[in-house]
Amino acid sequence: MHCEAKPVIDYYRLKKSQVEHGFDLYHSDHMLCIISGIGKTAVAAACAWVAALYREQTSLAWFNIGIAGAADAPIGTAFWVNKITDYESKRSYYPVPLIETSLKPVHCMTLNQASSEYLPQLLFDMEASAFFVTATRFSSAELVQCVKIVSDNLTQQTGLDKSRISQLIAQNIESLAEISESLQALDKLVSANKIDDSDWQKFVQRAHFSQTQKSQLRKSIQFLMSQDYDTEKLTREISGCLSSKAIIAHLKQLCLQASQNL
Amino acid sequence: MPAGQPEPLSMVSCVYIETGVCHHQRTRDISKRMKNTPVVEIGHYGEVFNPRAQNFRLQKLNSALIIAGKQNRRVLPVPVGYGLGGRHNYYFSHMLNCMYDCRYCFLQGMYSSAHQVIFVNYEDFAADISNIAAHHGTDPVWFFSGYDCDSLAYEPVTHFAQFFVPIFAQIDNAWLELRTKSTQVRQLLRLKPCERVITAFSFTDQHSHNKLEKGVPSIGKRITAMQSLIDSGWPVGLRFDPIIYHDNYRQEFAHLLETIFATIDAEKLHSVSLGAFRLPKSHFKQISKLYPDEPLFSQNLVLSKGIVSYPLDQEQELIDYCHQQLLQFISPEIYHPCISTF
Repeated sequence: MHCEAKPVIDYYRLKKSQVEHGFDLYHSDHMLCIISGIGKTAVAAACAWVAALYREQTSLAWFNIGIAGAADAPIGTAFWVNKITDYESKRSYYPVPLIETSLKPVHCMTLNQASSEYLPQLLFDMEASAFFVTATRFSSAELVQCVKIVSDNLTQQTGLDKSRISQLIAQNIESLAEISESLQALDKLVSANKIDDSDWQKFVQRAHFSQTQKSQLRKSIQFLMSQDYDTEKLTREISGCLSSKAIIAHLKQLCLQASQNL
Repeated sequence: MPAGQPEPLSMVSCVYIETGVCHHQRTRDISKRMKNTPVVEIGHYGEVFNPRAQNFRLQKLNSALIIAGKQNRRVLPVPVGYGLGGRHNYYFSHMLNCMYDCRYCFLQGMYSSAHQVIFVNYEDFAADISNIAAHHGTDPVWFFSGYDCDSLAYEPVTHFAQFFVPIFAQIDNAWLELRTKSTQVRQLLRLKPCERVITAFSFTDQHSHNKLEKGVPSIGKRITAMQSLIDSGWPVGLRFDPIIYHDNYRQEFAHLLETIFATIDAEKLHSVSLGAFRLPKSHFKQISKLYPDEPLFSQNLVLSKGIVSYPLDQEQELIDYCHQQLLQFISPEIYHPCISTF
């Protein structure tokens, strides 16, 4: 919901995209905030839509922020979700405990319909399972995390009071930012050895490469770039090679030189 | 750290426990050691361990522990070529994965998760081992415990050797290999030595150790642990698998042998084996994708019969040299080449 996203949009000073209209999308250079709407279908569609839109990215990290109901947790408490159970399918999913957070871990049950029948030790929401299942189709599970903030419990209901919901999210913004940074750090590790699409094009346009050759080319470039080479230096290295075969052979030779002493 | 002292256990990020073994005494004992770690109840270990959308390299930064029960396929025949020359060879794994982070290890390509799984139903493993040994009459039967994990590295938590060594001592035709890179021999030193339980220590040369074995105790500490077992009457073995090629491998391997045999009496060794670095094609593909920056995977490697390894002449040169060096110290009778195809 927009009221859940508003504190995040304000905190990161995200700008609304005027180009994309499938879902409301806010962005900065390295961050997107998509407002999916309520429910499993909406969140699955939103994830798939973003993944398709940003398919050229070397890696995507995903963070689901939303409200949830609980039996006894105080209103406004934020939890990091370490187990998600889909009530309808009875399947469970386990976000990988790799991020740095001071938030308490919790088991979240995702339902198709809102419910006020709460169980102790459990949070109830309407998106987490579909979010996790869909996002892990596009990214590794370590890069897919959920935080839920208690908006309703057995004694107090925030219901659809939008300004109150925004307030509950806003009061946890530092914890959310901490997880966001941790996720971005993991994402950097995943992206570290991947080749930028623009760099890749510089190499692949130099000759006609078969699919197997492209795979060999990518492997060699990735390794050499992790050593002492950058795009410019590598481009110079292969400037005299007249065919895809010659390029691959030359890069292979460089790899051997760089790897023979481990 | 002196031999036998517990190595600091790397902290785990979370403990997942299968519902079916929640109340198992071994689960309780292990959980006690992880007091401040979040615990998550799971239906089956595969729910956490098996999903494909996981990154082994990232998880290795801070892996979790999964406590589970192994319900079937507990004891299996070894892959072709694995073993020490015996006719009947099996392996079993009380754990999956390892606390160490060795870049050449095939487990990185076999599993999508770096979490460590402990199967706590030791009694079921013991019953299977006993049945298999009985099935072979009085023929010696080998059981290898260090295929999917390090046999001893987690001993202070698992008490694996403490449980299984007395079991093997009671089965006259059963032989056990404990394969390790750890110095966790304290539990063994408390037990009565059994001539059919061989603790095999794996070594690579110092250069490969520095570059490729993260978290593994130093060569010196492992030699000290090995010697303490010999002093107490335990049979021990040496495993040089994998041998890694690099510019200086000859001098480094020769120096490794000098270092080992300056302390260890070769006459006291049960067995020695060596094998060149090799990986099944599918595992190599997976691991080299995870570590595109790793020089080991950009070396001169070729694919032959589903195995990625050094070109035949280079591998032969590597093995011949190391074999020759070894024979300056050991008798040929205790030498076994490693030709396992996984």
